[in-house]
Parts: sequence; structure tokens; C-alpha cells
Amino acid sequence: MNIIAPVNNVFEVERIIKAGANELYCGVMPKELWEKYNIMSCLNRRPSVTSNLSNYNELAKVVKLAHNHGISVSFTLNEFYPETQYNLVVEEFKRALSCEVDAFVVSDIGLLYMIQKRHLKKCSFKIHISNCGNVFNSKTAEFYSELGAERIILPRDLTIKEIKDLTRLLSVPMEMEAFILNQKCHNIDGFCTFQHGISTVKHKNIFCSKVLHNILGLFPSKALKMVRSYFMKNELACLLGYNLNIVGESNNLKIAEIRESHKQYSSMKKFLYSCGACSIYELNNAGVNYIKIVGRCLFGDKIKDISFIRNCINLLKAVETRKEYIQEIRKLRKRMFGPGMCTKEYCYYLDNDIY
Amino acid sequence: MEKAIYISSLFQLRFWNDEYTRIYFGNEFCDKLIPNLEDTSEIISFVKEKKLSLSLLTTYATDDNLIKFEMLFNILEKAKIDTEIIINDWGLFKIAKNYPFTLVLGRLLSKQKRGPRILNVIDNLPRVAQDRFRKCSINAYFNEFLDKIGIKRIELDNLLQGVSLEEIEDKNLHFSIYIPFGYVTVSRVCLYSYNKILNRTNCKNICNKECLMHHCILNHAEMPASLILKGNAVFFNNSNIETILQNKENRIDRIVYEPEIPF
Repeated sequence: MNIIAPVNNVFEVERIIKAGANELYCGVMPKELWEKYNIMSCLNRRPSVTSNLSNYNELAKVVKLAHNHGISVSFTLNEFYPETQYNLVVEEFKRALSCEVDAFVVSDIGLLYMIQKRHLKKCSFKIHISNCGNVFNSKTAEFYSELGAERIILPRDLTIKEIKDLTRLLSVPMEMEAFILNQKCHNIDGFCTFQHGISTVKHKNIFCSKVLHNILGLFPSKALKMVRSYFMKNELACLLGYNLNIVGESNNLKIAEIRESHKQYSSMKKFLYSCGACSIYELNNAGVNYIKIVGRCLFGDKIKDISFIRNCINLLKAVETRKEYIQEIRKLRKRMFGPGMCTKEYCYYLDNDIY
Repeated sequence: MEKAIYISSLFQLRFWNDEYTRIYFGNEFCDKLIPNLEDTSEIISFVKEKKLSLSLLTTYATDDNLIKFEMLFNILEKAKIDTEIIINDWGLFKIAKNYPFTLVLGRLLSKQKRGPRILNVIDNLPRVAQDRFRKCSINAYFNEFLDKIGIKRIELDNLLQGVSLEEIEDKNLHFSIYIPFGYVTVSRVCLYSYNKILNRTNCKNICNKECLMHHCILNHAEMPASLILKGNAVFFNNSNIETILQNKENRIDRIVYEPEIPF
């Protein structure tokens, strides 16, 4: 079982690898691109400079450092691109290729088709299908295999049972990667069309500057969480505190239930600190060999997250049964993240039966 | 201009009149609302009787649900009527291409930027970035790929910020536009199931289709238009279509009228 960890700047590469990451993933938001097209036209679904490396020189340094440790780097180009952006994305693809990245995380069919036709046979990189490629079944995985993909990043929305079905029925060799920590959005990522990055445009980008990001890194964890929640509160349209009017046949009990459900559903805390660690045991049995820590746009606790998941993987060898594994993981989660952080609200995989 | 009507349940057939030459039937957003064989057979009878064409709406599908769709495809094939399948899952495409149906790229795969919040900032963006939010993800290579696999129609929503298809060169590509409800986002955990999942140890078979009885209107100062939450999907409402239809470059030749929230 391998850990895929996010990288936002070259200075953290060594620490991330030391904490236990087996692969790195990242994107680039060059200043010239931002100035010409605005950050809202970001090519990798993370429209903020803090979520991305600053330029391709920095990417080349990240790749070199990672390769020195025998660690591979995948590069995210996982948006969907209309004709207006197409030349631009091809240019960015070539620039990343020249930095010798090991894989591209892609979801746009046009980009995949172009890569397959023009580059795949000539070069040694791999194609990973982003979770935005919406692989809900074995046939979709086979569809992407025909387009040259070697790895599927599974949508957050599949249950463990559905992942098991998918890997069992798959008729082609394919690596499987699943999300394990942070940002369990309740919407299906590849079908969600809310735009992120609006606050960045409104506040003239100051809240997303790298300087602020680095300053926030100096804060103690609790303060950091508050600042993070404050900035993200109005950033994500899915988590806005909407005024809710219910239309249709209802009694007061039903209305109260719907309101409570909506409140729970839109919880920022649940979104930020979601966790699937106790499912590693079953994911491993289902043939999922790569687990992803989300965090290109999160401040701070990355090293702790990686260490936690590394410990969880190590426990696989130390226990006999799933029950024993889950008990140990829950103790570990409590020890590292404090009490109250392991309840069903935080679960990545909602069909798990541990509660 | 072809006019079609979007029917999610047999009850909605009351909205049909002879202005509509095609029926869209099914659900694009929830895999628990895949039509059953009985309802599909009734729709087939209705379509045959009125001499209409049929478009079956499909959604994303887990491996279990692929089997349900195959069963629907089998009865549609036997019915020998003019049938389109609206594809929203590439795995389902691989199955549907073995049948004698016309395949259409659905709204979940046409990748428009639909969130109304863009209206707050779009005027502050550079022109090229503004354009990006009015287009779908049809670039030259995707267009070539669609041509190769035989897809010649793409389904679109009527974006609040406007729709532009001017750079798409392929004159053989056709577009449909859905009126008045456009989808913004979709989840696999609806408000009703979420509470049940949190309160039960077993989350199987927890759908009682409560979503068909209610919807919620969502308002927030940051959101320039009201959103409609129905079941596991969020929609906006935009019935203003005149500007789009006046633009001949857009090549929209079908309107899909949704008499109710498409659920």
C-alpha cells in the first residue's frame, strides 16, 4: 500500500518524503497564466496560488528532489477544457513533460485522446485518471484503459462494496487509487459545476497569497484550523449557510429533520477532517494499492497526516483481523488528532459498519 | 426546431401535447431512480401510439446498476422504435454502443461551468476567461473522439451567464438545450439518506424516495440566484432562451422542456 501526498512548494518535499509518502502530486499556477486568464481559469481545479507550485522551475526542482529519493511525481491537469483553453493546456502539458514528471492526472477526454495519439508511445510517463473522470464501474475503467490510462483514482462517492465489485469485474490490468484523508466533499467531484476561487477574485487575491500561506504555517494547529475554516467558509458554494425553504408535502417533524440533515450535511469541520483510515484494511483486500491524502489547498498539518496514514499502513502487518485493525486505528486517530475526531460524520466510506 | 418533453415518471405524461415530437424519459442524477421495466414498457406503448421518438435518460452507474440498464436496453431494442440513449457514464457507453441506438452525450459529461456564483465576478474577468464560462468542454480533440465513436449530439444547460458554441467547427455536431432547469451539482448522499446513514448501522435499502415529495429553495447573499435542492441534485432556473436561439452560430436544434424539476 502506497501513500500519495500533495506538494505545494519545493521546501516541503524532503519532509513529506521523510514522513512516509511514496509518491507526490502537484500542480503549477504560473504568474503569467494567472495574469492573462485570471485564476478562475485554473487548469487543475485548484484556483489558488497556495495550492500550486509557482512555476515550472519549481516543478523541475520538486521532481529532481523526489527522484533522488526514488519517489515519483504526478502532475495534475484534471480540469475540462473548452477550445479556448486548449492550446494553453497542451503548452502546459509539454512544459510539465520537459520537467520529467512521471505521470499526468487527467480527466478531459480530448486531452487524453491527444496524449494517446501524439505522446504516449514516444514517452515514458503514465496516465492516471482523476476522480473527475467518474469511474463508477469496471466498464468505465476499461474505457479509460483503451485511452492509455494505467491508474484510476476512484471517486470519493463509491462504497467499499462497490470498489470491491469494480476491481473484481475489471478485465484489464489497472492500478487503483482511493482517497483516504481530508476534504470529503458530499458532491460528486467530476459532476460538480460550482466554481471555486470566487473569493480570490473578489478579494483581489490577497487571501490566497503565498506570503499569507507561509505566515499561517507558523500558527499553532487550533488557530490554524479557525483561520482555515474562516477563509473556506464563503469560498465553497456547497458549504454556504443557505436559508432553506421547504416546498411540498411535509409535517413539522419532517421539516425539522430536513433542516437538521442539511445543517449536518454542510458541516465545514466534517468536510475538512474526513478520514477513511479504518477502511485501509478492506481497500487493501479489494486491490487498491494507492491511497491519496487530499491537501493541495490545505494549510499546515500535512506531515502529521502522512505520518498517521504511514502508521495505519504499518498496522496492516501487525494485526490478524479487521476488527483488531479498526480498534487500533481508532486509538491511533484519537492519540494523534484528539477525541471526537472519529465519528461517523467524518467517515470517507459511509458503508463501513464500525459504529 | 425539435421540441422534446422531459418525463421522469408516468404521472408527468399529462404535460405532453402534440407540440412535442420526442419524449425524454428517466433520471440523470440518482442511481436509485433508474426506471423500472414496467414503467419503461408503458412509455414505449405511449411513444408507439403517438408516433413519437424516445430518448432514455441514464445516469452514472455502479457495476450493479449497469445490469439494470442492460435490461432496459433489451426491451427498447425489442420495441423497434426510434431510440436515443443519453449517456452520462462512459462504462454505460461501452455497453450501449452494442445496441442499435443513437447515442448522445448527456449533461453530466458536457462539462459546462454552471454555478450561478460566477455572475458575481464574470464582468471582472479578462474576456478570454469570460468566454471559458460560457462554453462546454468540446475542444478539437474531444470533437474528433466523439466523431470516431459516433456521437453527434450534445446536451446543454441554459447557463445564466449565457451559452457560446461559436468555436466548435464541426458542422455535423448538434446541440440540445434544457429549459428551464439546469443542474449545478449532484451527490450520492441526499438529505434523506444522510440522516439515516448517520443514525443506522446498516445503510442498505434506505431510500424511500422521499425526494419525490419535497424540494428546497436555497438562498444566500453570496449566491446571485436561488438554487433548488431536489433529492441529491441542485438546480438553477433559467427560462430565458431568446438570445441563444437568435444566435444561428450556436446550432442548437432541439429544446428539451422540463415541466417540473427533472427528478
